Amino acid sequence: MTEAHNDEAHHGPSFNTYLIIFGALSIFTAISFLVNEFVGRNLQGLVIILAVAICKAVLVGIYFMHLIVDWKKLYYLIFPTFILAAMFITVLMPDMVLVWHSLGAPAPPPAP
Amino acid sequence: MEHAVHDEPTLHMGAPVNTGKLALWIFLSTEIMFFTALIGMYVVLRNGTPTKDQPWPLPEQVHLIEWVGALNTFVLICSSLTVVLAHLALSKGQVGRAVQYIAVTLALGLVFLVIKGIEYNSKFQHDILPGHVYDRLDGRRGTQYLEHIRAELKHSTEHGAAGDAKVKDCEELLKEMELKDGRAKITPAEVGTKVKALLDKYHDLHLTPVIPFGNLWASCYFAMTGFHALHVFGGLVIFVIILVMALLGRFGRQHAMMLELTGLYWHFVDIVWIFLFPLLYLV
Repeated sequence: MTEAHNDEAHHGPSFNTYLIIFGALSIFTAISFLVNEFVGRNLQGLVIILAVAICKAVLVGIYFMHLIVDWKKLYYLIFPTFILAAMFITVLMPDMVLVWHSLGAPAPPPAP
Repeated sequence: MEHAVHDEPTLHMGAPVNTGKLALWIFLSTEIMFFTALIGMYVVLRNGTPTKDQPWPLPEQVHLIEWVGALNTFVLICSSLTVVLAHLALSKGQVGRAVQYIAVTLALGLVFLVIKGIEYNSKFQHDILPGHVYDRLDGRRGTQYLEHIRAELKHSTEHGAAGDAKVKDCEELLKEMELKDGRAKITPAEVGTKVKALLDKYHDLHLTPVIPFGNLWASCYFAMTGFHALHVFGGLVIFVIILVMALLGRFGRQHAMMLELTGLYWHFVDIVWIFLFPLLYLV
């Protein structure tokens, strides 16, 4: 039993693949930083930075967490989690964000 | 037992994955929900700020330095690499190399926590803590702000060089803030505006600015990064246990699955920071 599971541990990306993914993650981190510096804090920068973050997370998940090997065995666990996570944020939005903006509440006194 | 392995049926109950791995992924699912709650709270609260006149605090207002966050991100990515290389080495029977990689992972995790500690210290020094930030100046809070600024201005004028332009400006503001018939001649909001102007002019001046939504920001920041740091610490405890096992000669190739599961937890901690860094430092 133990040997079978240790054999399972052999399967996965190679040393070079890990180094390539590490390089990609480092480059993505630098891209996030540079986009913030040069594109600025606007919608365009936000979209790029969050897209880069998602790419990094996917790379870590697929290669470092071995989902490239184990996805078919684990997708039924992971999918519902992300659906629930997205729902959790979505259900709060109407209360905290949309209602406030739609009511046209008067602005508080301006900041000094 | 061996007889049972050879006669293993082709159909069997349960997921076709190691029990430990299944359990860890279920645990990670709960952790995903936990951090989604924190990050989701931050996203919702931030998008709920009602006006462009009082936007969410900028990193420079709350003493966040972007390159420090980027450095921390890089440190965690390096540690993710070393832990996965440790597992690769261990699965090939290279126990010594695996232990070295784990030691490097531990060291990188400690570097992360040290950098986070330095950042926290910066917040403590500037009193950017939940409930301490002057984000609203109405009522009693405004009076407290006037007293606070008066004390800071007195300190600056008493310890500054006579004739210095900075000291003169501080003295001028202090004079404007003098009480007349027990009441201030200048409103807290006006003091806030003048403090901001002084801080824009003299970057080394120690005055407390008004930071709209500063308390909300501080609550979110310390909740998210604090819980993340606790998770990092938990991972480091496991690495220490593994190193102790190795020191005692009780760590070997048979622990490859254990190391993989530890790595899965560590990668999850890395993924959480991959999202925390842009949300807190960049956007």
